[in-house]
Amino acid sequence: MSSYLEVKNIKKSYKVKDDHLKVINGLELKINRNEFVTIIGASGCGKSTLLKLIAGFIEPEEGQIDINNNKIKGASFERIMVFQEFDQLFPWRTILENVCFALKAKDLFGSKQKRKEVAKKYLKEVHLNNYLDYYPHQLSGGMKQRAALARSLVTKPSILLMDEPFGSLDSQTRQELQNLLLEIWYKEKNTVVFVTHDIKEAVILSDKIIVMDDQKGQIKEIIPNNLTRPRRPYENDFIELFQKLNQLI
Amino acid sequence: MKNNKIIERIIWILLLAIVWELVVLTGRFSTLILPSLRSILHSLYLSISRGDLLAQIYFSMSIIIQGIIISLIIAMVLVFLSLFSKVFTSLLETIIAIAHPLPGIALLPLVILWMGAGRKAILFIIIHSVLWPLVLNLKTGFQSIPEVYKLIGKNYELNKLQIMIKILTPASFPYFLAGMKIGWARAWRALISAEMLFGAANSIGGLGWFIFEKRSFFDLPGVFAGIIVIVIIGILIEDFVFQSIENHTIKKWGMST
Repeated sequence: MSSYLEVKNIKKSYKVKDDHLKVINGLELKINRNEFVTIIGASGCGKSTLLKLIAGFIEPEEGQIDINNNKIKGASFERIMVFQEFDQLFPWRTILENVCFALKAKDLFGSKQKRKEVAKKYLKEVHLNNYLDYYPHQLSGGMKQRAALARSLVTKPSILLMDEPFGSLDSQTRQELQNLLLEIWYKEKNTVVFVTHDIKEAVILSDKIIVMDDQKGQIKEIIPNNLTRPRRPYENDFIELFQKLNQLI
Repeated sequence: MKNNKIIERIIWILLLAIVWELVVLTGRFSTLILPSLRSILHSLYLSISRGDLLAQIYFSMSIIIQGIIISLIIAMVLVFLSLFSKVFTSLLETIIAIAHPLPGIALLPLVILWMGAGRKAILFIIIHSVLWPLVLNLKTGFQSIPEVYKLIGKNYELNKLQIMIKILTPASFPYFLAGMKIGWARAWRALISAEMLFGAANSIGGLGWFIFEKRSFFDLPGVFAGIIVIVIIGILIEDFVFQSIENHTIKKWGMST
């Protein structure tokens, strides 16, 4: 059986003063539909680059990425990225308008009225229904990320790419958002590829944990995560998996 | 402006006016050189009620607004083209480097020879004054946009024109506004100077001509009346028009350069 998302022998390097630094070197990866996958690794191991390649923001020098056996070309509505930066929302648009932007861009639901309705529904899911007409600068970091999540989900992308979206949040807010993301994922059934450097976060969220090797630009190990949900960090098997990952990195 | 700041301003202006009037009352200066405020205001009233001053204000403002709109369109086109072509960007940068530091008024003799001493010539000087600071600021604005906005534009499959209109333009609005302010200040100064030099050839002339004409007849109250109008228009535009645009845009959005 072939997988939903397949990364086939890709290579990508960056130019650093006259030298080509191989960030990703012959990487292979298979991800199933509706799977929640986290990618962890030391900083500079190429995990963000891998995510950008899957998003289609950059092109690999060799190899290809397939979805349903079709080679991807460039960025697309079917693979929406959520970034770490708080300013991924447009400051000149209200929260509601930011979400409507996505629907308008995809040209969904014809009328503005209908788009607003749909946007409101998603903003309610991320508990921002009382902040529709606020501008991003009036919101806290956690609220901004929730709004960004709503904007990413509203166009129903089959794959959600997340580049350390909770990396700049305090631990309590981060936990709230992790729970919210899982809640939504159970309902929406997106395939999620989630990059993080936080091992605990990886264990809480994912079905499969991919550990990147920071020297070779390849995958060091793929570890299935079959702990029963909801996962609690004080349980024994959680701690066991955590320590195993900690040694790998 | 805040209310108490406006009150402060008014109090200072009244105080300065009283000082002026007291100096005139001492009789140390001839009223030909230093007219009383009463005669200045009277002259202002007469010029307005006769309608010629209003016509000249209209003349000046219509040229400057036309110049700003044309500059805006040209600036957008130039910056848009520079998004596509590195060769064009390099050419544009060279032209800006040459044209930006060049005071518009220095081009006047040349412009008179090229297009005569009429409305077109003034318009040319205004466009020259506004265009370069605007292009420069828009370019800087576009370059300083967070990478993440462009990625979002790509992610939602917008084409270059859509990215420019929906993302780059609003995202660089603080820079745009700063460019407009510089452009306005330059254009306003250039306009008054050009009007004085060109006189009223083929037209009724503008505010600059109004002052110049009054001087020819040694009508100093008239000269001061013209200056007052220029000051008032300057304050209205800078403190009220630009301020209110800022309040409704970048202040509301929490954006600043």
